Amino acid sequence: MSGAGVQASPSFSARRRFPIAAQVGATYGLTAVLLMLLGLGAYDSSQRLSDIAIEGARTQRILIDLTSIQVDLLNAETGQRGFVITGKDEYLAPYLDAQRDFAPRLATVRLLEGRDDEQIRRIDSLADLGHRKFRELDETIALRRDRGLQAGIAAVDTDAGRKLMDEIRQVVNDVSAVEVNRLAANQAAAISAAHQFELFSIFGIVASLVVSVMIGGFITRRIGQRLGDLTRAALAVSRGRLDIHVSVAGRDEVSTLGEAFNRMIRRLKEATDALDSFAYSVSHDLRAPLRAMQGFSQALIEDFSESLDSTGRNYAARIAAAAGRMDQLIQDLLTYSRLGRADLECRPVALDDVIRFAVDGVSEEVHRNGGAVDVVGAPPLVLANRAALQQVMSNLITNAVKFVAPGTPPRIVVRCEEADGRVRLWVEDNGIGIAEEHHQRIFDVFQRLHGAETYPGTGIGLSIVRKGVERMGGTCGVQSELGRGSRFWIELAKAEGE
Amino acid sequence: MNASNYAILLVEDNPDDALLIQRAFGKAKIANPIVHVDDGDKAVAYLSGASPYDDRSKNPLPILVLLDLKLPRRSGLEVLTWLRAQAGLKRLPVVILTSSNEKSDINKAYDLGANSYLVKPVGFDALFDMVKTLQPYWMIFNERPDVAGSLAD
Repeated sequence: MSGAGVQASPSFSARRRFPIAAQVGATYGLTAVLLMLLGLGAYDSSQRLSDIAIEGARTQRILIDLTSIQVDLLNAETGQRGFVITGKDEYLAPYLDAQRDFAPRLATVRLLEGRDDEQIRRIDSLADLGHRKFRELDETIALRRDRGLQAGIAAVDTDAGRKLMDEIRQVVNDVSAVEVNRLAANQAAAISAAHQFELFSIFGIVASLVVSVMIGGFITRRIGQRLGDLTRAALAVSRGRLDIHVSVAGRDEVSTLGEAFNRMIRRLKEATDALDSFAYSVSHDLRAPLRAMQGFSQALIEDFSESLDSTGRNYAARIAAAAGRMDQLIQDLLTYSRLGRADLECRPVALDDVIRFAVDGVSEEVHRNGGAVDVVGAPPLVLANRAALQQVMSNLITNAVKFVAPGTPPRIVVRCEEADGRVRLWVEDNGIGIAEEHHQRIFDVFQRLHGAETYPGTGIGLSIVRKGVERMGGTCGVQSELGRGSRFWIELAKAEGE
Repeated sequence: MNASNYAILLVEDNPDDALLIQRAFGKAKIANPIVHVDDGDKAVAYLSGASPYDDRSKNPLPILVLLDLKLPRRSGLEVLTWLRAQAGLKRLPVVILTSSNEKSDINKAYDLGANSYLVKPVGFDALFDMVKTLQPYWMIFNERPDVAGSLAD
């Protein structure tokens, strides 16, 4: 009987308990915590991804705006050149648009750059360059307007405008380069965050599954195993073994049950042992005075017959008879109590031997009364305890012989029936019969239907029959009517083999 | 020597039982002298020839012991254990004559070397029948072993 782990301690309150509800709760709790961590991790990853996306969008916006600014400046230059060549105002449209859009766009970029000082510095220099560019463009346009084509061309030819443009291009490239790097880093971060989220999810789900299944399975198995151990122990006790001690591991309700079970068995054993000593004492100490009563009253009759008249001899005889009855009662009670304790070990027993022995026991009395006992058919082997079965058989047969109407020779038939692996043995007599309303009572202890003068007996014989048969896993009963004889039956399992 | 002169030692604490047993021997006309002691210590003293049983002409070593189990001072099984440990006496035939018919007592008695186990019956007639067979069986039919210090020497 063992579950791995700690031996039960003598007092219930001595240890910290870890009830089953707590175990299950802890398992669910742990699983829930794992899932929650998974959820938090997922949330964190998704936040991160969202931040990364926002960051990426910002970078791209900056790049787009820078491109637009560059395009604007180029358009402005183109417009200016167009005007210089043609002198027509409509060619100034792109120049005017660019002039209008430059500052706001740059302001947007500055805003988007946030607190990056390097970039802000570059944007400031871009602003400055832009202003100078527009001033240069303005001057050239004014020259063309005022002094005509040649003056305009000459101004363009100075390359001042182109040089400025180059500087502007350089700054824009610098700013862009930083942003492009940022974009690359941003993408890498996004991929990494996605990976993390993937790993987290897979790991989290698997871990939760494993934990819940393993722990849940472990707990269930432990509970099941230990309850199984306890059940087996209880069954062993029910079959009569009282030396059982269960060692139940753990600190929960099941281990408490184990401790309680052990205590219960100890008390049961104490009670049974007490009963055994009591029966033992009864057997010996109560019978000694009976021996004296019977022996000396008989000695009185035999050795002092001259001194005793018939009344005296009568009295002495009654003393002897009373002692004899008491002895019979004690023996029957002891037999009954001995049957009470355990299921009897059964093995194949030859019914005909048992029947013959019981019949031999009454043959002298039967012959004296001119009766007969017939055994019909071949009684088979049954699964029984020989001693108990012998007792049962003797009781049934002696009853059959005893309970006849005065002067009637007893005629008894013993026969067997077999069906479905069971053997039913009938003891049929031509006796006084039993009224229907008493059919159940007669199998109870101390139930007698007749006075001691008419049919002597202890009232325990049939209780021994019923208890003995039940302890061998069988059943018994009676069919009878008052004045029409009785048919007692017992039913036991048939035994296989020879 | 005639078998009927050999003594039988009756170790029995209950005076009623002792009287009835002796009456049964008398009724069965058994000539062997019955020596009666009423506790375990006296039984050991008698068998070992200790005082006050040291005069073997007055207290002959028995050739059969009828031994009750429940005795004061020393139980029947303790007496039996002692007897079976004595180099010279250990073969002495011992018949347990007691009220217990418990299997445990019977088995223990045989384990410790009892030669036979009888249960005291309640009816005197049954006791008489038992005693009637005791004498021829143990005195006449049974082959006696050598026991040191016995009259058979």
